[in-house]
Amino acid sequence: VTAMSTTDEELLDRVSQYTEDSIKIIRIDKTNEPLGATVRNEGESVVIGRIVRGGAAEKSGLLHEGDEVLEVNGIEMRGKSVNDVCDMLANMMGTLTFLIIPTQDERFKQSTRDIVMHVKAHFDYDPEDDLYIPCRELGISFQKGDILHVINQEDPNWWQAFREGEEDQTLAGLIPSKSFQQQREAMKQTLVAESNNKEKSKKGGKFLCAKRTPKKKKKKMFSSTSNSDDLDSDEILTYEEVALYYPRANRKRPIVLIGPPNIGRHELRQKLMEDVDRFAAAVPHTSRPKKDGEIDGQDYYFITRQQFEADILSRKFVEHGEYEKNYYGTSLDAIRTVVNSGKICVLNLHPQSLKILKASDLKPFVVFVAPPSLEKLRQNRAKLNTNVKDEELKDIIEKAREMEDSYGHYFDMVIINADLERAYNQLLQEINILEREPQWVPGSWLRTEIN
Amino acid sequence: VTVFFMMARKKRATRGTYSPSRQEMFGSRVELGHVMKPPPEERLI
Repeated sequence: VTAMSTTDEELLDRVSQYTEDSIKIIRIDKTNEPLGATVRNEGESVVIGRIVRGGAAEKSGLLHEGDEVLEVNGIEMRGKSVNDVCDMLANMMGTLTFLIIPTQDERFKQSTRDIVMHVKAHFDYDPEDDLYIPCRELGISFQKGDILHVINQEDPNWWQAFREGEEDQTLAGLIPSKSFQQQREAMKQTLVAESNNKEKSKKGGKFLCAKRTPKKKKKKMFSSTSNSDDLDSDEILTYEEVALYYPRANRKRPIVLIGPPNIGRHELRQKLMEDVDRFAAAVPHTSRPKKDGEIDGQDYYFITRQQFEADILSRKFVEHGEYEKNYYGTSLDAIRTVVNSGKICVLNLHPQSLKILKASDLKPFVVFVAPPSLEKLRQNRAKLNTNVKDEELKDIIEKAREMEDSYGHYFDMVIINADLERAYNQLLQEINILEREPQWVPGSWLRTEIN
Repeated sequence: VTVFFMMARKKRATRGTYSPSRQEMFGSRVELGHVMKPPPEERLI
């Protein structure tokens, strides 16, 4: 420091008026964009709450969480509400001179560079509806299925992130952390269970209310019908870590069509299969005897009943059932055979198969074929001259809703089938994209991969 | 400049979804009030 300007002298003069041992003078250039720091009130003080990735405050490295702001450009901050501070700073531009009492907490002084974590959201989130978000203007809204790039996890409750497709935002946003969201949902479930119990006792006796119990029970039912080790069916869905997968010409991802009955899954599958050079079905297994003219490995894999039962136990099937005292099923190996032949395997499966398929090495692409509105459904049926009762149509829509509720986190794509031709084109277009563009897939798929 | 903030906020929040079932179950703004305390408010500067 050679020559000191009068303003610097004034500044030091003011610093000397504070009784604190160490006061820092820092200068940050501000445009009309926010600096990218938050402030909170602690008593009379204005304290830096967090430094947001991407802003001038973070890039300067001069402000830290926990720093108390005494003055900005000569204006005293103590006693001001954060709202006033926010309004005031919003109107300031150019070089801002801060007087700061640096935080004593060593943890906040070093800024750590986190590794980016990519996650897929399994819940909808709207910061406007969230009482607990510390800084609402930084909140990012997102929907089930959105990809989020988490760039900072220093705050155990609130992560800093960008939403896929919004990477051009200068400032990161806030999303609830995995553990915070889990805690909150667990608490909600307890509250709902409690209030339901209260309702029950009010109505007096279990008898009357036994029919409709909360969601939890419904999920339990699913786990009992599927595999016995399906213990995580009550798991709270938050985020799933994902990674980019680059398509490979010799390993086509199987297309799995999921959905309620009579909404066009089979028609869609048939239409795809017309292109025999590109698509193929997995050959099913059966325990029924081979008929004349049938070829083993082409019509079915013919195996004995004992073998079939052994294969069920060793989890070789993604799906199986019994029809007229014979077993039928689709095995993982049969799907793998199609994949190895260089074709795209198209499967119509029950959503319960998704778990085992997802845990396999087959990297399925799951498409949910959903019904359109009741009105549209009614029109479509009328066109086909089929007389279906409204009750049945409503039932289909309800089934679809339940499926989405329980299995939505497995879906890669949702097609609303209002018009078969349009739905088919949509599906085909997506399959074409799958073959040339990288996609976000569960991180575990790439970690366990043997190259 | 305040207008800018409002816009930025809106832009971010445009994709929020209304979840009627949740609203029914927990009410709009009273959800966990007696269990969890909201953190002190932070404002962006």
